[in-house]
Amino acid sequence: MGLRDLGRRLKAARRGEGCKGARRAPDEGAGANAEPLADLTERMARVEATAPNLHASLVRLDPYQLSAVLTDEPVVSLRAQVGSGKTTVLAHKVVLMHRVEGIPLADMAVLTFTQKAAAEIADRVRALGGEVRAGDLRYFGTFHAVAAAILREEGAAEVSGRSPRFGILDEEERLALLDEIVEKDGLSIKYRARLAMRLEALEQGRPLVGAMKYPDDIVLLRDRYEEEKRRRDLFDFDDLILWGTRVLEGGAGARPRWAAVDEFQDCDPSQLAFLRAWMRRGDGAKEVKHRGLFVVGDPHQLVYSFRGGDARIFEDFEADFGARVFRLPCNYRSTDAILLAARAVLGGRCGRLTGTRDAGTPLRLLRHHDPTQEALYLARRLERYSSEERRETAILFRKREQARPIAEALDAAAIPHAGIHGEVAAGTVSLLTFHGAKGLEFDTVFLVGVNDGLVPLASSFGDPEAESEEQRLLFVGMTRARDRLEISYLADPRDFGARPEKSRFLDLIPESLIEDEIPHLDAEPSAIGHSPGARVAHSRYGAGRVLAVNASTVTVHFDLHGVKTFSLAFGDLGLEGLAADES
Amino acid sequence: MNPLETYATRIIARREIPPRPARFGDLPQGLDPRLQEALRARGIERLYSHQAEFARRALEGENLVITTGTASGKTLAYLLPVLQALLEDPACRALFLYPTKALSQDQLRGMLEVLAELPGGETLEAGVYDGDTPPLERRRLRDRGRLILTNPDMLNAAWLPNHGRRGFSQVFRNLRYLVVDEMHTYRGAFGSHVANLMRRLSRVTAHYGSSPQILCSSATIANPIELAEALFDRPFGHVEEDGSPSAGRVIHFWQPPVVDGDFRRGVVQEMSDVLPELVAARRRTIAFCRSRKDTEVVLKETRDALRSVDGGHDESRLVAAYRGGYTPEERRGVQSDLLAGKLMAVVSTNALELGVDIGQLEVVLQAGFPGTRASFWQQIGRAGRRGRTAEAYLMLRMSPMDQFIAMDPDWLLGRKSERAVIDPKNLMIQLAHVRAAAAELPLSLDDLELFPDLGEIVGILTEAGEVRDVFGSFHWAGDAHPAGDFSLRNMDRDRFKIVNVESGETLTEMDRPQTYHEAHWRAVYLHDGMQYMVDELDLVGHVAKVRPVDQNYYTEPDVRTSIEVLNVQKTRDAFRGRLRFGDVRVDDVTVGYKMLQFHNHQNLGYEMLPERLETRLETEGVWLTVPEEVMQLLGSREDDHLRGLIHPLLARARLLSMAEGADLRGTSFHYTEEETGATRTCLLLHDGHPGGLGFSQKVEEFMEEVLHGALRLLERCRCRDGCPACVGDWRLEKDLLLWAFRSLFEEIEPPRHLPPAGGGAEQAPVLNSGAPRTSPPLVETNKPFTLQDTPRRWRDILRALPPRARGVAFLRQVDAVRLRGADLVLQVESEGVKAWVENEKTARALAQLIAQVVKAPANFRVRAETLSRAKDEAERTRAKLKRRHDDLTGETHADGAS
Repeated sequence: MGLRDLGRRLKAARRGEGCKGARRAPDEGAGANAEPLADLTERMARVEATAPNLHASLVRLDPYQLSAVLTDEPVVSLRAQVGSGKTTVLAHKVVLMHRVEGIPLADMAVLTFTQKAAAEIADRVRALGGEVRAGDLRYFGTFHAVAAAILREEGAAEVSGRSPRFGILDEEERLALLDEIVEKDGLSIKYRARLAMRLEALEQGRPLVGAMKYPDDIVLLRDRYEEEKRRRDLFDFDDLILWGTRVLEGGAGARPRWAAVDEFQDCDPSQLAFLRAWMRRGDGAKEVKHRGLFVVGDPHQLVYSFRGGDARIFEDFEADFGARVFRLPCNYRSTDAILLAARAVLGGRCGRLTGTRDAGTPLRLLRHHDPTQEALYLARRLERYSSEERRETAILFRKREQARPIAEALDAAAIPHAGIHGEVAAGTVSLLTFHGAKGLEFDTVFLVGVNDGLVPLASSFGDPEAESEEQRLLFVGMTRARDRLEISYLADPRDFGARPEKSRFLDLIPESLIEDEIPHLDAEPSAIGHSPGARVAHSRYGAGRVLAVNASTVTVHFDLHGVKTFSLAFGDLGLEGLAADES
Repeated sequence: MNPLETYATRIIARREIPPRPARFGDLPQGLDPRLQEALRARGIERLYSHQAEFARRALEGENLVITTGTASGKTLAYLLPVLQALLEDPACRALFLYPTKALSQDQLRGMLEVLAELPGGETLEAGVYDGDTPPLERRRLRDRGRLILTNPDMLNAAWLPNHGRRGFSQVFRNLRYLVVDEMHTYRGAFGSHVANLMRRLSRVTAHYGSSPQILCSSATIANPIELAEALFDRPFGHVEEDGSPSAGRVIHFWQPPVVDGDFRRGVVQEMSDVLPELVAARRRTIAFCRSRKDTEVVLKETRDALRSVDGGHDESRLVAAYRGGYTPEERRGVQSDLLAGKLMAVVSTNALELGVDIGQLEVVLQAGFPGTRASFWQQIGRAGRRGRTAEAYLMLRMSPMDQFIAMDPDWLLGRKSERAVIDPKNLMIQLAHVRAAAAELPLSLDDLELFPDLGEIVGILTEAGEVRDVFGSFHWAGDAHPAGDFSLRNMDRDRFKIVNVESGETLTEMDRPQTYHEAHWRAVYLHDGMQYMVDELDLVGHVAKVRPVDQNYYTEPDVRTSIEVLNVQKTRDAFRGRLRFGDVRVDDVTVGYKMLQFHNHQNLGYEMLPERLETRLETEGVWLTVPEEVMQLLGSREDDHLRGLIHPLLARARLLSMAEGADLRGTSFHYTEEETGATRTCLLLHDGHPGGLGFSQKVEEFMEEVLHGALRLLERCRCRDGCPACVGDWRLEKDLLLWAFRSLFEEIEPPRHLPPAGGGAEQAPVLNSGAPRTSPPLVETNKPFTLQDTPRRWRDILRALPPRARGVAFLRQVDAVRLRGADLVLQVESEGVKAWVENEKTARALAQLIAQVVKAPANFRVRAETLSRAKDEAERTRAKLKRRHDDLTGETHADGAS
């Protein structure tokens, strides 16, 4: 792409037409306060000179994306709309910092919420010509993984009384250790089934659960647990972030020069503390000038506030760190129908979100009888999908337990499926919770059991914060779909604690975007012509004349029995003079 | 000393059934040693031959039905293969279906006793899962129950609709055996429902990859295999040779004495007299009544009589009642008191006829034939269970069936003739279950095999938006699960309460047709020996309000029935007649009623109802042509003697098909044969439920047997001149009917004393020796109009015609008619219409139609003539004015048609 082209695109972007291939904007929304950088030509020239591969790729970005990549602001907050290519931007930024700004990969951290997301960024970096040597990506990973890497540095873990070869307890092992202590020490612990929750509450200064009259040994257990972990040279997940933060605050530990954070909206206070500790010296003096921080996320996809995420996280961060705000308003993923519906579900409160694709097909909204019927319906639909189509299909639900009937029905129909940990086998349909689907995208998405009481969860009724989060969760679920989105709810939602009505949020979607009919196959040609006026015969009702034929039924006026309607699928009508099975 | 000896004159017949020795068989090969040990622990070294045969064949995988007698050890027979499977495979489950809650509770007790002695039996969790089961127990049974006892209603409303839920799905996935006890109770509407329920069950088990083997037990009926195969839609084997020993029995047929002229003493009174004497003599007795109410009456009378035995000694506690409506605790209390010998007698409804264990009894009293031979034998079987000769007394009521037995006691003991009838294909029942099935698993083409009318039903459901087409399979899209929309036990909920407004008491409930016939406005309704007058029939509230009266007459409804044949599915000869089976439309209109004096049945007058009561039924029927010469002679009588042919035919047909009153009805009609165009009079028996339940179909199959039986009923009746038992009515001439009935078999000369065809009723001999024959009626009864009335009362005639009958709509367009000899001339608008009316077929049909309410001579014809428009208008205006005037003055003008 020549500079002239680039200039044209920049002008267009200033007019709000910066999305590639945008045919119409689903919504102009609030104007972007961070316009694409005006003059990028000089930087582009530099890139072209030092990293031709990267340059070749950069010209394909839209101006918003390009601005975010090329900016030399040290602290950047990138508010990326759903499906707007934030991973692309992140990968390009990493390569740019490496190849153009000269920061070694090993001196960068990329913090993500899943290993998979970290791996994807690493892959993209490689594809963009980043030379990756062994050990270069040691700070590419989840917060836990990066914290662990820092703690393994020489001398770092010692503050916590561990060796650099410490072990890590997963959630299950943690509970097992707690149980072991309770048993061995003969501790009296109430509400043992909710032990993890109680320990968390204890950390936050709420040691009592419910109306407990007498305190039990929970404090003692906490202390014994800490002691035992030290003795056995173990950290649990929370420890990793906690001690990683303490190491950084103490000025020890490795300190990469540049860091990026993906899905920033999901950071909890301990992770923010970790970031702060990384940005500042132990004495509190700012070191921002020497370090770069690039956070990417979408406040509309905040769905982990129960883990401590905060809706105001972007605003707070931007004020605190003096971050420059960039935005990615163009969605390249979904059809307009899907985007408009998703926007509607958020009540329009999602800022500027511009579609780039065509209108697409309407959303399908169906009611099924109960979870069993819904599952059988899905099996019936997916039976007809090719292996490629199935790989690009996800079934999403609010609660994990909703997966069981669906998995059973898919098993019975021999349709391979996998949950969050198994996206490899060919032709596998994904079965994920809304939370688990975050960051993923599919051609076709089925949102199931979208009843009031599941979305939003009944427990959130009356709590505006919690309800908004449920609203965002539905938004996340819907925007996983590229081409086709089908939403269903249940007449009899049974054990899921839901009401027999569709989610209140679905009422926000304009009816024009929805159809509630199942697609029909091209009518299989009937063996006999059920055309109006034709004389037909039926084994029970004798002779009659066809009055009307529609997609699935035929209506016949019988000479002796009056008007009856039959399903075409069961073809029990024959031409007059012929029995049905002869015709 | 037998207190019943004093009643010896009432015993009209006595039959002895000798005791039967036991026959044994070997334990089936490969029977689990633990089961053998459990049998030994119960003192069972050998099995009765039928138990051994049943267990062996069941273990070979055969679906079986066993029909050995009460207390022959059927439970053990099916428990052996079931327990064997449960011991072998720790995952597998067995479901037991019982028709009543009480029975499942009782059977559970027996099973728990067996399990207690079975090594490893403690791991086989068992329990009753019904409407009374608390939620935690339900969960235990779903999660771990190996023997689950439930009923069809629960299967319909709880198990199948929830099959996809955890717990339920595990039961269906691992269902190895389905045991169905008392299979013969699944007949008629209930049975047809259960057959469809079983089809739904088979869809669900197939969905989970299981295919339970089915074991059934049944009382003795003539067609157990046919019934099982119809219920479960698969082949069955039969075990019937009873190897258990049986005590000898003596069955007494008890005819209450005639009191008060025509009437015999009621069996409830008879039983109330006898029972205290049996208790006083310490004879352990079970007394079966036909209704809850009768049970309470007998109990009260008996207790009253026992309150002061031998001058003040109160023995009333020695008798108790047992019936539905009591709490399970109350029922169990009665049961254990019986077993413990604390009770001398129990008064029961048929609730105790099923296999509830009540120990050894000596005497069975039955207040009336219980309706089927199967029930009769079950009840008889309650006494003499363990070795001692039992005595049974069947007290006969004044019903045709009971009196038929009085004439032919050996019918009860003879070869099996009762056939349980179901029709899984009944469209209304299929519809109910197809909806439920759709909500359980999507409907596919394969389901056509289970639900033959699926195509039509799905069409209806698609139109109603209740199912949705998903690539050719149909998914339920309605609201709640539709299994709650119907009851398995009733065809419809269209029932009326008969309420005594003076006491507020509900006397009974009845269906709509019966209500229209017996509880119309001003009907005298007889109930439990009392007369009540219907003051109001509330069609909206479904209540008939009655008050007690004491009058000298009873009422008979004037019911106009018109029959339209919708199609003919089968035609064949039956003796001299032509027999057809097919779909019919029955339009029934109650237009008025006759008042008939008690005892002499004299007609006291006729009243029109203020509002016509109409019902329409499309159902199946079987009809037989009546020979011409019979029609000629019967047609000469003023009373409709065809009723006298239908009555015994219907009684016999109901016996054969185990039908209750509402299941099968009868009438006569004119049928135009398609082949010849000739119009023939036919006797019609038709199902009482929409779409039919197979009753008339079964009658068609066995029409010859029905005809013979009905003739025997006429021949053997002890009455001289016809009575309610044989011909249905005192007013009918028995010898005429006997000749008519015999003529159905072969052409014979009419009895010489009978007047020739065309003779008047006046010449009929005085047949009834007691009361004089009815004097000429004040008002012609069946046909309220004479031909001479026609022009003047044309509007009334139109109102009296069945409103939906073919031709009535046309006749309503005719404003005026006149008489020309025996021709009724309709005044019509155009030559075209005139030609159409005078077409031979049309004219005959119209004549027949009008003759339904007009007493017309044999040569009566319908013709037509056209009038000029002006004349027509003038005539119309005049007629209108006249009618208006009539309305105002209430007078009738002796003014003929113009």
